[in-house]
Amino acid sequence: VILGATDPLELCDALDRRTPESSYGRDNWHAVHIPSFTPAVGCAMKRGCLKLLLLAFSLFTAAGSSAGPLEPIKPLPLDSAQNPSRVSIGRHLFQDARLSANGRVSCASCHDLAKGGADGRVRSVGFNGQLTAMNAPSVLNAALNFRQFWNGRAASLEEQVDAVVQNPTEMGSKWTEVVTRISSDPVYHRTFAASYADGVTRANIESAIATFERTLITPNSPFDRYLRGDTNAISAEQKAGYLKFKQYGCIACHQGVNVGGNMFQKFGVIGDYFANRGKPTDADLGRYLVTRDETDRHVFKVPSLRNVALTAPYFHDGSAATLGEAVDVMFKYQLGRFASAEDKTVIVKFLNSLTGQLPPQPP
Amino acid sequence: MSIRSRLIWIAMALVALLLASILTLLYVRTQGHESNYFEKVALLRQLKQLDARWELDVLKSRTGVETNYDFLVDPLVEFSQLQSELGRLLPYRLNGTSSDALVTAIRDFHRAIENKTQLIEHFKSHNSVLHNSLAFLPTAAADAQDAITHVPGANGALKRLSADVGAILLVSMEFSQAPADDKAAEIGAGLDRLSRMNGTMPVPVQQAADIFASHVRTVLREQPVVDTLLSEIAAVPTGVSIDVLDNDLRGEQLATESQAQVYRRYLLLFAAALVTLFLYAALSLIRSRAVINRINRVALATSQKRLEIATQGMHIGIWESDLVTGDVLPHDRPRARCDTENHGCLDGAGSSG
Repeated sequence: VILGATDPLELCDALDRRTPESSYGRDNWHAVHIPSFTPAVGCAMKRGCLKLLLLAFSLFTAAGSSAGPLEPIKPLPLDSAQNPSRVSIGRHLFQDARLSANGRVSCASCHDLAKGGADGRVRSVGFNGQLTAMNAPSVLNAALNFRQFWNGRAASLEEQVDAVVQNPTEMGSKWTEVVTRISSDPVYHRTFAASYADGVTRANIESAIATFERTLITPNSPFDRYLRGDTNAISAEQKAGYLKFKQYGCIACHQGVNVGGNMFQKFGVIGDYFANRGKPTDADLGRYLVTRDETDRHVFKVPSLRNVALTAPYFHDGSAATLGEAVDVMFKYQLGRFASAEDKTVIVKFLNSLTGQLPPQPP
Repeated sequence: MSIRSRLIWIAMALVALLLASILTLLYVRTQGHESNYFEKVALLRQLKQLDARWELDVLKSRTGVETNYDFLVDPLVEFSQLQSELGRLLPYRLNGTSSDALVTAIRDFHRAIENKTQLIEHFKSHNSVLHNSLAFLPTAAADAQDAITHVPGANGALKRLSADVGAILLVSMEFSQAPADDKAAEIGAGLDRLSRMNGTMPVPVQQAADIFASHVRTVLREQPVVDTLLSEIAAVPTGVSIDVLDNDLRGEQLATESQAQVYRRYLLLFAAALVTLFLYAALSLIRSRAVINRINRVALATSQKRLEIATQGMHIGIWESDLVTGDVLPHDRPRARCDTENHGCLDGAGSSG
């Protein structure tokens, strides 16, 4: 009836007649075709009747709420073809502690594939026992992130490998020493020679590890199967959770094929997260440490929510121990909204549907 | 073979080598840089198209047509690949062997892409926040008004608050479509009225009003930022840099083509000289062959005549030897021939007997 009305005043009357609990209520405001038609707008229209403005605004918001081809989350690709011999070298290097200065930590130390590509700690432990500055992000699907690290200081996986190997807390190595150690291994010497024209070099070590990481994609999550048309792949609660996820605006940042990982965002858009948390650290400055631009203070890469159920604790500071806590923080500081406990529960259930097929464990 | 002959052969080989080298050099100079010019132009076209598509995707994100930001990230990979390809095609230019204008144009282009990338990064961050608050604003207003209507016996102040919320919402929507200072001031005044009522409202109304106000403030803060970013993105001279590169490359190609034309003329002249030389050599060869043939013919004729005489002599004899007396006497026929052709040719012979 409402969509059939062509006169704005008729629309106003129709809107005013409905009750807040009707199917046009708050919880469904984003799912309807013209979500901006609320009582407040209706009253405003009675006073102003700005037809053109209403039309433009309705089109603007309706465009963002369409389903189907415009679905803001896309399924992960089912295959990630990479050079198999390089992947094999990278797989071995990934677990090789000789990358670190004292041979005590490898990539897998902080990025355990069995733990969702992270390590389950608030902050990871470096080669000499020191804690790293931030919580280790998951290596799974990292290839789909537009930048690497929480502050996006690496533009590629190769750069990320380079930064970790040389980081004085994480691996503390010098490349000349790493290349010497790896070259001295006859197996590496042979396999590198077969895969790379110039054998064991710093660039080739980075390339091999990055190539392996590009295979760490977790396709076929229940939600991906749902997106591909299997309507029974997720439960009714998870479907409701996805709807809430969109309605509450989580989707504004967590969208795309990686459900995040494609933009930077200030941590604390609505409220001051850091003031409330206390104990500020350098790491809290986020992207500012890279650009020294004041507008980048407390700005971080939006993390991917793929396999998020496996990668607690959450945020760069690992301050949220559970998904429920993380959702609470997001509502308070990023969305500036109240959500019912039921809504949060179904959102967490939806997030659980993002766990895909984990890659095989290295031998 | 004598030393002189060897020297002549070596000299001739060197001359032939020199001529072949000149010919090859001239040919290469005429082909020069033509091979990848069109590849470069195609690459620049690709870059320009990608840049235009990127800007279009920004606008789509702004209007909400695109619902995720992967569209704004994917071009970065393509840009990176195309820039590497451009670097591969134009490496010598960056080494300073080309014109300063072209080097500057390439650097300007890289700088422009970096600048645009940063602006788009900021755009994504601000646009998502703005989009979110704008989309939520009507619901937030409805929540606040609902909270007021649920207050038993709501007083005049609360009713005015409800009206203020509606007014702020309307102006905020107008502001989102056409930001203006007067509208911003009006929104600010409305928010001030809301904040003055802090502490006098029932808790549910206060909470709803606070949420509404925070999202209005977000729109007020983010809308100008997004608009400015859009203007700055549009103003980044990536297209201009590509055009400058295109023009410089075209100018360089024209110069190269012109130079190649000059070399083509040289090649033509050189080829004509070579042909003339070959013709002269061929004529000389033909002439010397004719001389050789003539000499050979004469020599052959003489030889044949001598052979004939010898043959005739074999049958008829020139001398006849008297075995009894031992005298050697010329035969009649040679004598007769000698008499007619060479008088006295046999005199010696006759007298010797």
